[in-house]
Amino acid sequence: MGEEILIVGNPNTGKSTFFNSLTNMKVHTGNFHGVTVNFTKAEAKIENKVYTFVDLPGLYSLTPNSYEEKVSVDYILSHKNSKIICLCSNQTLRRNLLLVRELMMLKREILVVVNMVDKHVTFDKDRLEKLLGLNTIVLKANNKKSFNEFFAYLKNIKSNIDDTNYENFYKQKMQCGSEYYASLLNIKDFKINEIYHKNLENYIKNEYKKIDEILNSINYKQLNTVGKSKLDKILLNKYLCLPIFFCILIVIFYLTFFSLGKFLSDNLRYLIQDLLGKEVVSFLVEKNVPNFVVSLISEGIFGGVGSVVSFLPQVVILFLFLDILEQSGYISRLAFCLDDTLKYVGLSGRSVYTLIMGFGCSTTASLTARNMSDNNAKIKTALLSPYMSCSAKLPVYAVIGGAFFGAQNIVIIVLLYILGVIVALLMSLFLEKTKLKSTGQTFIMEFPSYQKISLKHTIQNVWESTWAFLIRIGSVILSLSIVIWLLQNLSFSLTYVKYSGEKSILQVLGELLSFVFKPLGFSSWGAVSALIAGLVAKEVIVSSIAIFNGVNIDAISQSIVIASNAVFFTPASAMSFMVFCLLYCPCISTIATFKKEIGTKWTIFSIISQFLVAYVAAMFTYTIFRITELYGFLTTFVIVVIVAIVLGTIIHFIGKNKKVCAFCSKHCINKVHK
Amino acid sequence: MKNFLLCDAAINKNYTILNLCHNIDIKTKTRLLEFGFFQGQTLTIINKSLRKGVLLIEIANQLVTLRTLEAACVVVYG
Repeated sequence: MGEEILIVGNPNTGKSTFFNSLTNMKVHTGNFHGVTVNFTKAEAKIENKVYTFVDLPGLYSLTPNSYEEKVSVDYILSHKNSKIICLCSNQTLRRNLLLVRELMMLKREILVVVNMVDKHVTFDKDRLEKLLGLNTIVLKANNKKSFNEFFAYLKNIKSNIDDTNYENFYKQKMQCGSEYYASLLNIKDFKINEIYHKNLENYIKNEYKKIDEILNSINYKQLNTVGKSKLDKILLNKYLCLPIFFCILIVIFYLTFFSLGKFLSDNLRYLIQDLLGKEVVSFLVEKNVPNFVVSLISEGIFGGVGSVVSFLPQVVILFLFLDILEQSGYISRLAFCLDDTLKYVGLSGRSVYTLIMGFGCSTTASLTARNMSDNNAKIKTALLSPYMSCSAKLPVYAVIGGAFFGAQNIVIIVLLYILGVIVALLMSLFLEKTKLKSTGQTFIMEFPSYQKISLKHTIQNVWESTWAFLIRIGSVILSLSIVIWLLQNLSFSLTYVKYSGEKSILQVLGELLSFVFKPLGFSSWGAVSALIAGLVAKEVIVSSIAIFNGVNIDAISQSIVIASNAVFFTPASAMSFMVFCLLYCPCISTIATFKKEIGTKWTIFSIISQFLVAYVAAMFTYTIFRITELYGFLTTFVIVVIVAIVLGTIIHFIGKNKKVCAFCSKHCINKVHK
Repeated sequence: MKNFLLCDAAINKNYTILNLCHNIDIKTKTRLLEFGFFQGQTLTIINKSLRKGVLLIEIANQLVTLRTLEAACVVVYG
């Protein structure tokens, strides 16, 4: 293992981009603070010497304010012999130098790297190096050609003389430090009083005074305000911001599920089923391969796995748009626009990133909840991520909705996405009023500049997400499709059911549990078994339906309207099934992440609560659709309006808060405070 | 010259920070200070969200978003 070098810096300064350029890794990057939530290690051979670079989550100082900042501080302090690269953005050098000066208090080898994000910013680099007393290098984090000076520095890197007396360091910092230092020193009677507040304020103020002197000496000139753009006059207009956001979502959904996405999916389906599938099956028949094996390959692999693979283009398009939103800097604007609304349900603008990422994958989204500033908000935000309709649920809507609603299916899909968001917000409100009240959730966030979409980064990020999706198909979904096919074709006496006429293992189990789902309108054993299989990965639901109905990819939609098939729906039960799939228990990988991130208790809560919520919502949907079928639209509309008024009234009374002045913590009518 | 809570300040006017209120929690205070919210620093409110709950502030050549609860903890004059 090579010499360890930590890449440290403020959020959104380009640390992960620099790390990727150095190590040829493909760590996820984005234009939002808090994209990196855990450390990543990788080795790189530079001029015949191996180095281990560590990409750490962003931090503003050695006083952690959130879980991911604590990850960084803990890593820096526990790896005493590692060298530090403090990456600064030339746009935000003033604030970045605050961290540099704090790091200088540790007796480490520190290199200051200034990432030239904005070409209009100028300063005297040699003078900066002299004033800081630290090696300073200027480069572009995304351009390896600008790394020559950095590579030369690595050649002559000094060995670390780490004789810092951490106890003295912390005690010194205690004059202006934080509860975090107190906990490190095991000081139990640490009290935050007015003197402490004053010390902290004086400390940072003095630091900024010294930093301003440095910036004056190096002729630091910044022409533009970071984050300021004329585009925001429209995008952040208080009346236009939300309609614009909804328009963007509709365009994304339209291109993903219809037009482009559908065109590409149809062609891929044709390639898999009509060209590849038929060729393979006819080859196997020619070679006299036993029927059992041919059926396994045709139904289990081409029918099951193929049905999921054919949705790959739509998944890729969805990932592409999520990445464009993230890279452009629009998500920070959304955080600004939605914080107002989210605070009523105990969330903050910071939660927006996790919720939007939930449209891609719940597992990765729940990890991003680490950037919440208090533990309750972290748990709450993580718990909400599976309610967002992830890409794995997309094939379910396309197959089942497509069978019953045809061209109108886009409306159904948009409504399902909206339902997921509404249920998540209601769940958040419930948690806020019961067990997970926000405790002083701070919402202070830097506003990044709009960024041109880098084709290289977009392709890299989309490829990473797509590769993860393909790995799931090649591992979990392929093996599960084979297991499901076996369970559906073998009886408990292990005979092939097509010849013995006995009931398959899955049919027996499905029928045993079907009574539970009768009130939801779908009690066929196939539908119940598909839901159970979907607990492992949601993509398996569609592949299971294909296997149970014994059809290929083209015919799944047509097969689910035939009453004699294992999986059969009416329009009402199809809607109910889709709502249940949207909301029910998270997949295995999300459960594993939950256990690590928020603990066993909240993981169990998530599984049970999501099942109950999905059950109630699906039953409600089924009832509404049945009433419409029996008594017409008008009656249903009246009933829905009455229920909405009753629910709205209840929520209004639950959410009613006494307004307290944030300045004096009393019911205060003064506007001016001295 | 009149003192205001930051949340009551008008858009597109320059203000100077008078102080941070004494009763804000230490996490918020630390973060505010790290972003440059201390006595004597000038700032401009660039935008207010729909219910004026969140402010977009230009401070030290950078835009920062701040929720009213925290903004109320900053007293400005201008």
